[in-house]
Amino acid sequence: MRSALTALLLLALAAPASAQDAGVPAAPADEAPPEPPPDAPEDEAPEAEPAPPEPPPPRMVPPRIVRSSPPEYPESRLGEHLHPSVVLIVTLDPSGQVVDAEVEHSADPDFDAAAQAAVRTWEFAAAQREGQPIASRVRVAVHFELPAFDLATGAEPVEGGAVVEPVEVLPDHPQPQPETEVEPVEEAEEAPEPAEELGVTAAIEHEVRDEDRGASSFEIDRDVLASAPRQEGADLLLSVPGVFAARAEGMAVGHRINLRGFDAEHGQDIELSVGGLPINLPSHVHGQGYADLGLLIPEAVRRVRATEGVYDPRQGDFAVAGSIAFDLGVPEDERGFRVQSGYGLYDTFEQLVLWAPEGEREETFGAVQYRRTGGYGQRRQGDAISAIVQAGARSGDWRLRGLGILYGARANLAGVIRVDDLEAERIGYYDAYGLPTAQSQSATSGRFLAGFFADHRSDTGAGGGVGLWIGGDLFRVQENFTGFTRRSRSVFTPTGRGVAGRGDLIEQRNRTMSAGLNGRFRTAAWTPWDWASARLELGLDGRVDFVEQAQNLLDAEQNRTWDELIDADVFAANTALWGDVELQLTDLVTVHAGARAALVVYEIDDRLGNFIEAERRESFLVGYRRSAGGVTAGPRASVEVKPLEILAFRAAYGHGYRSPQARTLADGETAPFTEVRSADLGAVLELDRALRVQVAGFWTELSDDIAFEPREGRLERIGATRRIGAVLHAQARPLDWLIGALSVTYVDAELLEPPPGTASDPQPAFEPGQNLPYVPPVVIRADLGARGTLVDDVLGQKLRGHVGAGYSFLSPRPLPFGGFADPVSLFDASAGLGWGPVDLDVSFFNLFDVRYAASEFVFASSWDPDAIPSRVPARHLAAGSPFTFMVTLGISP
Amino acid sequence: MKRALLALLLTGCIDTSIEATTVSLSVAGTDAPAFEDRAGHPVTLTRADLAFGPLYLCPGNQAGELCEEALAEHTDAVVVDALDPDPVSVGEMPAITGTARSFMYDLGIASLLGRDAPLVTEAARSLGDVSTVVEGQVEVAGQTVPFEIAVPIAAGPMTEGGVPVVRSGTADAFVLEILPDGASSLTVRFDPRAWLRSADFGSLVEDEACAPGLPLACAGAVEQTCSGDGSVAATRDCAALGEVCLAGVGCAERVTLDASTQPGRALVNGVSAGTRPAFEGLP
Repeated sequence: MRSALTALLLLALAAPASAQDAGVPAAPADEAPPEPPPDAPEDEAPEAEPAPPEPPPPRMVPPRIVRSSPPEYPESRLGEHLHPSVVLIVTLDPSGQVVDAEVEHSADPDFDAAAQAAVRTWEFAAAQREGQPIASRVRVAVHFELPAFDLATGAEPVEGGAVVEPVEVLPDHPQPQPETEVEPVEEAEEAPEPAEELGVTAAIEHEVRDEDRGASSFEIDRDVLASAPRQEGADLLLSVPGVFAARAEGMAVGHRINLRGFDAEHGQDIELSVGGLPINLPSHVHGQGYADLGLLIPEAVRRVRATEGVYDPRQGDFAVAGSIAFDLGVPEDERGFRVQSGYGLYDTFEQLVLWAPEGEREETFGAVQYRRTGGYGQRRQGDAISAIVQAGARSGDWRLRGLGILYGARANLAGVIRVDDLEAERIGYYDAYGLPTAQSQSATSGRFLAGFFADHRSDTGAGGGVGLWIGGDLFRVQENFTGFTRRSRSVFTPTGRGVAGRGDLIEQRNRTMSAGLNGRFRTAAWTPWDWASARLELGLDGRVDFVEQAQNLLDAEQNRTWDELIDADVFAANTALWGDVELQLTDLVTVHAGARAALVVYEIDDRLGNFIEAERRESFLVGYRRSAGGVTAGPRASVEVKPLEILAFRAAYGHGYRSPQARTLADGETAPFTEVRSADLGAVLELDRALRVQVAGFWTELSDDIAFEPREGRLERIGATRRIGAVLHAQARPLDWLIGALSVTYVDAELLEPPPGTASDPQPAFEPGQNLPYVPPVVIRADLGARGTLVDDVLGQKLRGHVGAGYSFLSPRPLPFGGFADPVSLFDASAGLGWGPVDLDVSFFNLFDVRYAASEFVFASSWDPDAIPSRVPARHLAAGSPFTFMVTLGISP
Repeated sequence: MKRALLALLLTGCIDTSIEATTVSLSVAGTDAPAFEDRAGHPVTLTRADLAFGPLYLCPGNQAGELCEEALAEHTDAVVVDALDPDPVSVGEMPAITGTARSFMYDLGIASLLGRDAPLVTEAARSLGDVSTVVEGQVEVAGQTVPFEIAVPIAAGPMTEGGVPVVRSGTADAFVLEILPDGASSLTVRFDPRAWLRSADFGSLVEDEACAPGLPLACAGAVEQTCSGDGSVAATRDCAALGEVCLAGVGCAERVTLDASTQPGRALVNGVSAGTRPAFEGLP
């Protein structure tokens, strides 16, 4: 064990040097070769007569393209305006002849076949080892363009309308790579036929890494995301299996998200990222891990990746139910300048300006979206603006990306209403209580995020990356969940009574400044035997957060503060190290085994800690400054067995964590991470792009869970929990113009131990197997879309059309104190026509005008200050959106 | 069968443990109107009406401000005839399942959280804006003195508003299992004898002699009107009128007492802080 750790450490230390020595920073592959590296470090060289370093003899030369001919653009597909890319793994024999071209990334069968046919006609210079040609494999990307398409990429337009991108395929000037870890291919030199296990892979793709861990790793591509209409970016989550998301509180407040047995509230159980930037905010006053996805612009999301469960060592804080990542970009066939305006019911207006320069990489774009709504009921007006700018570039083996996001929103909030008031017709479904304390509910949020990422992959297969990011977040909300139940502990009447009954309008303020970095290095494959290879990946994630937060009670008139509940500053630093070993055992078995460890430290200035009433402040002042920290670590492992090319069985186990809310810690307390253990077993069936079916059973157990506490308007601890369930996800493209996706998730979520007692309820009722409230046992989602050319020539332009639909179903959710929330069944649909540069769409949301609760709560409230108050918990709901539609006109000149 | 399976699938094997339910609430009195006051005077009650409610049953061992969420509640008040031993149904209290370990209630006059003036319920209003009205007679110094005591009982200006005036503490042994499906019931039984055990009616009837400055004096059942020099100016036999002679009052059919009198204060204390009513719960 000790030697293994030493080896890991040596590898970690050696890895960055190896990456640098590969000549990466100064020598892009298509530029002049760099100066050969010195033999020894400078400090070891003789001072008097420094010996000129001898360049080491070249050991390995990757293959390169000598002559290429373009692929034929499939004639039957000319009318579809597609610009796909096909990635092939090409096997070369020692003479440079193509002996095999296997599809690694498929566009569809027509394009795949055309790409394979073209590559078989190409001429390659064989890879060399010690000056001798050897067999090799090379990754080749073949890109198809329409004949009339004028690219500004520098790629070569060719007859037949196809383009190859040799720069993307191989360095023009392959250089000696004396320090790389490329293994010689002894078998290839000896064998007359090219061997399958050839060790040279001259890939220039950025970070080629297996993302799939377990059978619950999902990738939702843009065509699925675009099939059904979305009101806003966060609605893209609906297509992720097991997810339901709704704006329970209103614009400017994060979505309430359910994910396979987790009521993740505003994201405390889901590690969310956008373009690689982390979205969760630690120790947020509205809830640990608070995340608002309002900043997303749907047109700028090219893919959503979800790992449900925690099996990948890269999954970090808040990856309890799983991780969801939004990849940003605009695909080639949608690039250009686009102005899009939409207007719909309830005075809803949207304006999008998107610029994705043609010929640039998918990542490169800029988009601004403004959205305003009058709201579908009382106090639901809101405005939001989001701007995202991202630029990607490639420099040699380096892929660089910069990203900036700016977001701001302000909205009135309707709050919740009591169901008994609704049934007694004292209030309407989409109304807000008329009292000033309810009419003053609102939210404001703003966020800035910027990041720079650099990925490197050498032609040896080794690679890595670094990322730096900064962020600032502002959040302020005024919400009243309970009416008139609070009493001030800070303000007193002349008779000495605590001021009370001014309305439970809770003000929460949270400001976070964050900065973070991450880095990783992945070795080249080590192939001790023909049938086995291994890679090691090591990584580091770190972030610091400076949080200012407050919580007060406001008197709605003039927002006068009548009680102070929280006034604190938090400094949090979170550093994680992870390692991951990938073992490839023949083509059948892939094993990932790794671990992740994290250290968090906190410094908390809790200015209202040790609270005592003013008249008793004789011996000390209010305030509780403290520090705490903790370490957690756990394994992550997965195995894939692939008996058939189209079928894989996967199993995974992982141990993850969620950091604690800093203010809950005592001085010197070992930070009590929420420990999560999850396992997953399932199968994946994949028939190229035509059909992909995933089935998985899962188990997740938490050491302690948290749930929303309306009295405080924040999350509170409830105890250990467990989820057991299964998920089915199918994605089909049976026809070129048709796409469909379906997911069904079933989960049984239980509380394993009684929730902690309180002064008012020292022994909360509990029964083993008690189900978790607010968690829907069944979540179903279906997406269906059709898109194509309707008429080839209408006034010289094609007439395009599309229709799409999305259906979400949420089974009845158990509520606290019995009862069930009504099921949710929502159907959205859209249709559109496009002619030349103009697109006209109409989208219908909640087509059947189903009245549903975006969220339901059960707690005690009292909304009539002149009546005897009720103290028994009662059902409350926040109304979801009724039927609405939006007409959108887009122009892409 | 198919529907049952579908329901099972859609809701999962759900057991939420805590359920919404109801508790049947009844009130009753005690058929034992005769007792002795603190000084041993025989007292016989003819009326003992009490405005009872709102009532909250709480999960913690102490009610009051700690009872932020109750397990059961009756948010109105009812007039209890404390001399009628037969339970009278008040209705179903909305509740959630669990174990109630404490209670708190008001006596027809509820202090509201954000209001200076308390809320007088219909029940208290029917009693004349008071919490309790007790009538009866007491044997004092050979006279049978009819009396009536009416007192309001509410939180004072110095106490926290919004909290019921009667709150059980850790010394009060109270446990009620609140079961699903309305299977629990609760009868609150009052014993008015306990309300006045600390009263002393003796001061109502005291033999006095006329003295300078004293307008009236009672010599047994004879009312004496005093002159300015302290001599007896006139007499009247109250007994002959079917009345009693009350100190400082003279002949009167009955004595009406309020919270400023000793029996009135005793009644306030007895009802709000004295012996608790019996909570007869089922199961």
